[in-house]
Amino acid sequence: MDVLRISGLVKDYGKQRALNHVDLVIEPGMFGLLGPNGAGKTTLMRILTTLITPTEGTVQYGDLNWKDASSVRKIIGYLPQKFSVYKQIRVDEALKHIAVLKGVEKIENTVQSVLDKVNLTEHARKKIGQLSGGMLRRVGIAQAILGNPKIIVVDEPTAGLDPEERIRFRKLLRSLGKDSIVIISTHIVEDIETTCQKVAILHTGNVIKEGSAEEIARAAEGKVWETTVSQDEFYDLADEWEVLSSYKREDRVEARILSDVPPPDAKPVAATLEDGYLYLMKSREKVT
Amino acid sequence: MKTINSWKVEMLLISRSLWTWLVFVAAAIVVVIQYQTHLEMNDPGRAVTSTAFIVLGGLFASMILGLTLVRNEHVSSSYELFHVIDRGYFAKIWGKWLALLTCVVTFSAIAALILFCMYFIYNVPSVFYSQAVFYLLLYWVIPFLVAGMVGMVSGLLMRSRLVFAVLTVIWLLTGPLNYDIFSQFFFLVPSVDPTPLMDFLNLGQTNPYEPFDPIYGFPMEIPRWIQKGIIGLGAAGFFILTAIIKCKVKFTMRWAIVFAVMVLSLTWLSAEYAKESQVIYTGNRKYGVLGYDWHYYKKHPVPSIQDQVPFDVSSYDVKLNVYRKLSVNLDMVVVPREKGRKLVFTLYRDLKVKKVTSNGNSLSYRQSGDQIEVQLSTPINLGESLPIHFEYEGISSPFYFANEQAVMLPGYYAWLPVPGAHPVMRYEESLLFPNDLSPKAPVHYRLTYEGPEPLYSNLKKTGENRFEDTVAGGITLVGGKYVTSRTVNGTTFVYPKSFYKLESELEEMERNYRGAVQLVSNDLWISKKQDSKILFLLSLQDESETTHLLWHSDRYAILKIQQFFNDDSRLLKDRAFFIRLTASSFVKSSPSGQEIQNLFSDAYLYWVEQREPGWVQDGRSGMSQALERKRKTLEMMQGTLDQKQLNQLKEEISIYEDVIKYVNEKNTREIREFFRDFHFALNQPKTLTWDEVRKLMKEGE
Repeated sequence: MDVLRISGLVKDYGKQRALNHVDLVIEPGMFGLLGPNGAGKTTLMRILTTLITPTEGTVQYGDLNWKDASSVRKIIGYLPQKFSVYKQIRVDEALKHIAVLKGVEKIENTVQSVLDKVNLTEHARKKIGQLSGGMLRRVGIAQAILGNPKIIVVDEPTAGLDPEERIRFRKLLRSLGKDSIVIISTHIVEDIETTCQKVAILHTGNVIKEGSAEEIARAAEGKVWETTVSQDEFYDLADEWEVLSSYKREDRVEARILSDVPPPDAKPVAATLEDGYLYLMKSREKVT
Repeated sequence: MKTINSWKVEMLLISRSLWTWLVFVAAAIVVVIQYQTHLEMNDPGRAVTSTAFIVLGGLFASMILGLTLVRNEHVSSSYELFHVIDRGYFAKIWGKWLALLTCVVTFSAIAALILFCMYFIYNVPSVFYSQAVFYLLLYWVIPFLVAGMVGMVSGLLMRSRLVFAVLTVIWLLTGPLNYDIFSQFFFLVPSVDPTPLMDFLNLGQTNPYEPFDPIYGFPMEIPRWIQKGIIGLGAAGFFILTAIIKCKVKFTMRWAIVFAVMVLSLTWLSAEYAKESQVIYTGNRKYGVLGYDWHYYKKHPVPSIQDQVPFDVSSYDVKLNVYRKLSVNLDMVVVPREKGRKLVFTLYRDLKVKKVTSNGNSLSYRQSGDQIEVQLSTPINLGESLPIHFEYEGISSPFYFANEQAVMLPGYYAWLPVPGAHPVMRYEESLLFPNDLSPKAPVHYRLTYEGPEPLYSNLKKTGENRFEDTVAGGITLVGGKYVTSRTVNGTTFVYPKSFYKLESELEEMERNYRGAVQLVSNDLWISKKQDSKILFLLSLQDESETTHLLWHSDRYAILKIQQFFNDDSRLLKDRAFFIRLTASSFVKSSPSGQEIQNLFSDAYLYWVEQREPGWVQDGRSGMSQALERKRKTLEMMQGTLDQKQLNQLKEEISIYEDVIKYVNEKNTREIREFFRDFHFALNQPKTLTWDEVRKLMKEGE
């Protein structure tokens, strides 16, 4: 299978630079784009989905260049962040309509198959307006995978979903990465951690780190500490150190701290993707 | 496939919206009420034409529908999704356009169906069915579709709420009431005449308040179709271009060809639109039926060229072509009454002479206003005759139209060059009157005609579109889809089809008419030749309420019919109406004024009523009613009228009282004498005064 090659991608909105010479190579499988708000994730997604054109740089998939937007659209499946379709029509009607627009053959069978895949068969005759947020996202995925696109772009997939729906949705996402490139853009680290093999971290339009979840986590290796303190001591600790998370255990608090030097009475612990991401963000903020 | 599926989805969305059904049902109710109201008044034309508010509402609804259609994806947050599908949104845009077309056609078809049902119930003639379809296509379907496309384009280009303000302005500018709304702004720049622009932008019917003209029919002249074509094509081009840009569709050679064809079509349509063509704009506007000649003859009361050699025309050989405008090739034979070199003819001013020849040699001529002065190469002597060939074309008076829709050219109107210098119409007391310019002596006419059919004439038909006869009173031509004829007891009635209810009453009408002519002719000593064999019932729009309601000529007469409700049956069956009408019709363009002419016809009818007691239907004669009205006016207006007006009104009341007294007291011989003298005096060029009328009464004693 071909890889998606992003080279020297720049996007300017007037004087504002949203993407700054982004270079990425995305292989088949799940790929996560992580970054805070304003990092340029959505801009990159919109370029990948041909909704906007870059100021500079190229995007290439095999022989296919993004300048040929029409051909690109034939291999793209997209789930926008704010996804919905007409509230008055039924799920199956909406999917059949999108399938026709995508030029899918054997529409009835294909729609039935994607409905099965996203576990919506029993809701097929419900109107879109009657669906819960989670079901609607699943309809979103169903429409995105119609026609077996080679690249599936998913923007903020779990935003607005309750925890149970999130877990179910991540499971669904994982199943997609077997046959295609699935690019997930999110600011929720857990989404990436549970679904993606590869991650790129974007900050103010720049890719500041790219690699597997472990590689990103490794950036914070030896800089994540854990200590247990009393409630009163915790307030002082939080003021003095960068506390990543804390858990209350009976009358004491267990805190995870990000620091180049060991805090008093703290022991080093293994870094996670979130630790790596936060460490990189902090480092970047210090630089800028 | 993609487009059709998109259309299906759009139709699904529309059909599942409560608003759709509310608007549809409300509009259908309005349509039913509209049709019912006018058909109750026996006006099958106005049932369709007075739908300005429906059209206005339809334009707005179509714009909002167009806007809603393209905003559906924004509202449902699926805009980006469809844009990422190859040509997905473009297919959807076309699906939306088809949905718009479906809604417009469905609504118009339902309106047409309701109309047809009502036409059927009211026994409306078949011509209205087919013409109403074309009317709805011209004034509903195309405008609604254009408005919908405007809504779609605006929605594609603008995301903010400003779009509603923009659409409102466009809506008002393109609505049938645009002139009324925007003309106020043009008062600020009096040098600019907004009429042509407003008429061009108007997607509905111009001047929707005006009554339906039963001879002319629905206003569907070629330029109106061209105007809709230009606007429609322009809107379509703009729509396609916006869709291509917004959907980022590649501008292929196919699109280039489409646009090239569009540009070529627009160029051709614009050239056709610019061609001279008669379009009837109703109302008092500068170019309107009632305004156009009114303004001119108010400013030009006398002929533009003075009379020269007196002469007659002994024959006319006319080749008439009527299509968008009137074109004539004419051979006439001029017979001078004196020796001379200059001949002055009268021809309606907008019929422009292109060529004048005699025996193949060009003659120099000068056309100014209603006059043409022809300079002969050598003087013509008394007793000689001279063939003259005229070629002219142009736009006939809006009162007497001649275009691809219909022809209505009465014999008294100078659509053929007639000898002498006269204004074709005259402005009098703020009203406009046609001058009777028909030849009084018999003239030989031969006519070959091409134009709206069937054509009816006072001349004898000699072949397919060929007519020939020797008659006085000129040629009257009436033609078009809406005209028909029927012969009853030897009298041929030529009348509009919309008077279908009248058909059963033609016999009674013929009896009344014939009886009235007989009675008046006997009483007033008028020649029996006025006993017409052809009666044209025409929707003449001139403002003369009495003098030209009935116009007599050699073997035929023209009766001006009330066109407001297309129902003159009550009046036409009314014997009193005919007697009064006939009496007044024998007063030829009297300079004595309307009031004195009214007195004559009121008084004459009163006398007839007195001779046949019990005949007055409601027990009160027209004379008594007229007197009562004048008394009431005096009572009510006493404080507002000046002394002169008061005296005049008192004088009128007094003379009415005197005439009533006179008719009640005198014997038949004396009264007949009085009316003959009164009639004679009215037909003199000298103005008749109230005192002179009194004097006539005294002379009778």
